Amino acid sequence: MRWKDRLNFIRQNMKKNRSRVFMTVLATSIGCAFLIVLASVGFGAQRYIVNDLMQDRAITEVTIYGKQTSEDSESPEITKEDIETFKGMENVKAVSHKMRVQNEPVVTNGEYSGSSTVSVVDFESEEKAGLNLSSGRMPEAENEVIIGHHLAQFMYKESDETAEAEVFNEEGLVKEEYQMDEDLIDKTVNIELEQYKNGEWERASFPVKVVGVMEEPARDWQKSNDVYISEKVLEDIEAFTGTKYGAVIHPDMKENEVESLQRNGEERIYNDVQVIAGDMEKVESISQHLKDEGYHIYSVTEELDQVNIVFAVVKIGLIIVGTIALLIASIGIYNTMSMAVTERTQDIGIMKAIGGHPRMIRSIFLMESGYIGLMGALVGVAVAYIISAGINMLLPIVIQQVFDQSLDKVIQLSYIPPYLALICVALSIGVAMLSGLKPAKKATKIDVLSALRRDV
Amino acid sequence: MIKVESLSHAFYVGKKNNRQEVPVLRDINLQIQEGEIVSIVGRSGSGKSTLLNLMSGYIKPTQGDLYINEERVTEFKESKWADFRSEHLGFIFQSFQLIPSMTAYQNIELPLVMKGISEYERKRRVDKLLERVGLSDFREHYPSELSGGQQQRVSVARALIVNPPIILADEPTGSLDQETEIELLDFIQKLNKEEKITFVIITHDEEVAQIADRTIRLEDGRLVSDREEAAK
Ligand SMILES: Nc1ncnc2c1ncn2[C@@H]1O[C@H](COP(=O)(O)OP(=O)(O)OP(=O)(O)O)[C@@H](O)[C@H]1O
Ligand SMILES: [Mg+2]
Repeated sequence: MRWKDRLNFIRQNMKKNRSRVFMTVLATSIGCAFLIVLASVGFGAQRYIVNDLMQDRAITEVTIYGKQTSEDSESPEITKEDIETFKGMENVKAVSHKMRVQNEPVVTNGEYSGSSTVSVVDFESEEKAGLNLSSGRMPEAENEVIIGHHLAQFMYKESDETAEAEVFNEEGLVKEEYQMDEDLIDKTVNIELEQYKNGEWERASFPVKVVGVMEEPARDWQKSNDVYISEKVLEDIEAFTGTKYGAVIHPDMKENEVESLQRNGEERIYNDVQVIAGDMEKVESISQHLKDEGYHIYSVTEELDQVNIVFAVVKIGLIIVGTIALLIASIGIYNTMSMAVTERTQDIGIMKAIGGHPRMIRSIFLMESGYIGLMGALVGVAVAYIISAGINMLLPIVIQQVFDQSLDKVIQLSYIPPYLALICVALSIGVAMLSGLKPAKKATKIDVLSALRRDV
Repeated sequence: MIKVESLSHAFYVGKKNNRQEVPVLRDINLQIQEGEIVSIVGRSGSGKSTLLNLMSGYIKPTQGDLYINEERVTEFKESKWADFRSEHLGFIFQSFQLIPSMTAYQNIELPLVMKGISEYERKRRVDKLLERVGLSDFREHYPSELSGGQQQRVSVARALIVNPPIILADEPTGSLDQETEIELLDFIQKLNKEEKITFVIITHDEEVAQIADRTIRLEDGRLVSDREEAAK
C-alpha cells in the first residue's frame, strides 16, 4: 500500500469520529505544551547563567597559578622558561604575563595622588592577549606607561581640612567631589616609593609618561588603578630599593629575611599569568595539557562544565516530569485507538478476507496513532511558544509588582531551543505509536470469519 | 487448479477442561480443473462453508492437504495467505461484505489500493469494471444507497479487479430475488467462458446447479456425490 493511500485512508477513518480524535489531540497537545514549557524554564535559566559567565570573563582565558614540581624544594613559580613553553603550545594565541612591584606605590600628578598597582608587562603580549586602549597609544619608549581606566578616580588632593575617611565612599573609592577630573593622558606622573634604608625611611620618585588609557574592565564592579611599566623602570626602582621587585624592607625584619629579598641574579618570576586560547573550543585541550604538565590552572570552562552538568540534570528531571503528562495523554491515545479498532473490526475483517496483509493493517493503525501524536505535538509546540512568550513578557511586570524593583537586564526565564521542540515532537510521536502498538496488534489478530459474521 | 486430499476438519467447542471435538469434514478428496464451474450443495450444516473457508485460508485443516494453482497452501502462514489471496483468489459473499463507509468506486478499488497499484492504473481498471457491471452511474454511491443486486455487482467487481484465476463464492445468490439471481448467474457464465475463470459456488439453489459443470454434494461432512451436469 502506498504512503499516500495510507495517509488518505487514515484521514478518512479519523473523519468518522472527529470529536474523539479532537479530544485525544487536545490531550496530547496539552501534555506536549506542559513538557516544553517546563523544560524551557530549565533551558532559559541555563542560558542566562552561561551567558552571564561568558559575558563577564574572557572565555578563552586560562589562568596559571603555579607549578607542581617533583622536588618540593624547587620554586613552584612561573619563569621566563615556562612562558616560552606556553607560547610554543598549540592553539595558544597569546600569553599575558605580569610582574607586580612588591611595594605600596603612590602615583602623583601635581597636587593629586592616589594608590596604584604597578606591574611590568610585555606590551606586545598584552596587545595580542586582547588589551585595548580607550584612548592614546601603546608605549614605545622605556619611560612610557599605560594606565588603568579608573586610575584618575583613585587620585585626590591631600589637604589638612578633610579627614581621610571623608574622602572615600563605602566602596573604598574616592568620592566624586574629591576626584581628579583631568585626563592623565600625555601627562607625566610620578611613581613614588618608600624604602627603609640605613635606619630611616627614604622616598624616591620615578617620573613616567602616560601615553594610553586602558578600556574599562568587563565587569562593572572591577576598578582598575593599574600602571603598566616597562622592565627598565622596574630596574630603576630595584636600584633604589635594593630589593627584587622593589620589595619593602620593614624595620623589624630579621637579617635573613632582608637577605632573601635582596638576593640577586635570580630568574624573573611572573605572578599573574594567563594563557589565551585561539578560540573557546581549544580552552579545554589547553587546560588539560597544562594540567598534565603539572601547572595549577583555572579556566571558565571548568565552571561552565559544572554548570552544564547541573543543568543537564535539572533539564532531564523537568523533561521526565513533563513526559509524565505526555504518558497520561498516551492513555487517551490508547483508548481512542482501541475503540477505533473495535469499531472497524468488520472493515478489517473484510480487508483481510480479500487479501489485506496483517503488516499493512498494523502499519495503518500505528500511523494513525502516530498521526495523532504528531498533530498533538504540533499544536502543543505552538501553544508552548505562546505560553513561553507570555511568561517572558509577564515576568518583569510581576517582579516589578511584587518586589517593587525593575530589572536592568531582560531575563528570558523561558527559552525553547529548536531542538527541544523537535525532541518533543519525536517523543510525542514515539509515545503515541507505543500506545497504538497494542490496539494495532489487536487489529491484525482479528478473526476473518467472526468479523464477516458480524458477531464481534 | 484446486486439489483437496483426504481433508478433514474438526471444531473444538466447550471450555478448556470440557473440550469436545466436533468433526465437520471427513476425508474429502476432490479436484477442480481450470475453467470449471463447480457447485457445492448439501443440507444446512453439512460443511459446505467450512470447505470453502479452508480453500480461502480463513481456517486451517486439522488433517489432509490442499493445493491451489499447484501450490501447497496447507501450511501457509497468515501473511503468506494474504499475499496468495490477493494474487489468485476472488471472493463473493452472501451478504456482500462491502465496507459501508466507502463508495462503490472505493470498494472496488480497495484490493488495488492494498496492493499498491498506482492511482492512474486503478482508475482505469475500476472504470472499466464499473462499466462492465453496469454501475457507472452509481460510482459515488455508498453500499447503503444501493439495492441488493447492485451491491452484489459491486462485490463481484471487487472480486474481479485483481484478475484472479479462481473465484470462491458462498451462496452468492442467497440474498437476491429470482430475477437478479439470473442476471448474476449469466454474468458468471460469461466470465467463465470469456476469461476462463474457475468458479466454486456454494448453493441451495437449483438454478445455480444448472449452470455448473459439476455438482459436489456433501452430507454430514462427507462427499457423497461428484457428478458432471449432463444437462449443460
Ligand atoms: N466456528 C465454529 N465452531 C464450532 N462449530 C462450527 C463452527 N463453524 C461451523 N461449525 C459447525 O460446523 C458444521 C458445518 O457448518 P457449515 O457452516 O460448514 O455448514 P454449511 O453447510 O455451510 O451450512 P449452511 O448451508 O447453513 O450455510 C455445523 O454443524 C456447524 O455447527
Ligand atoms: Mg454456509
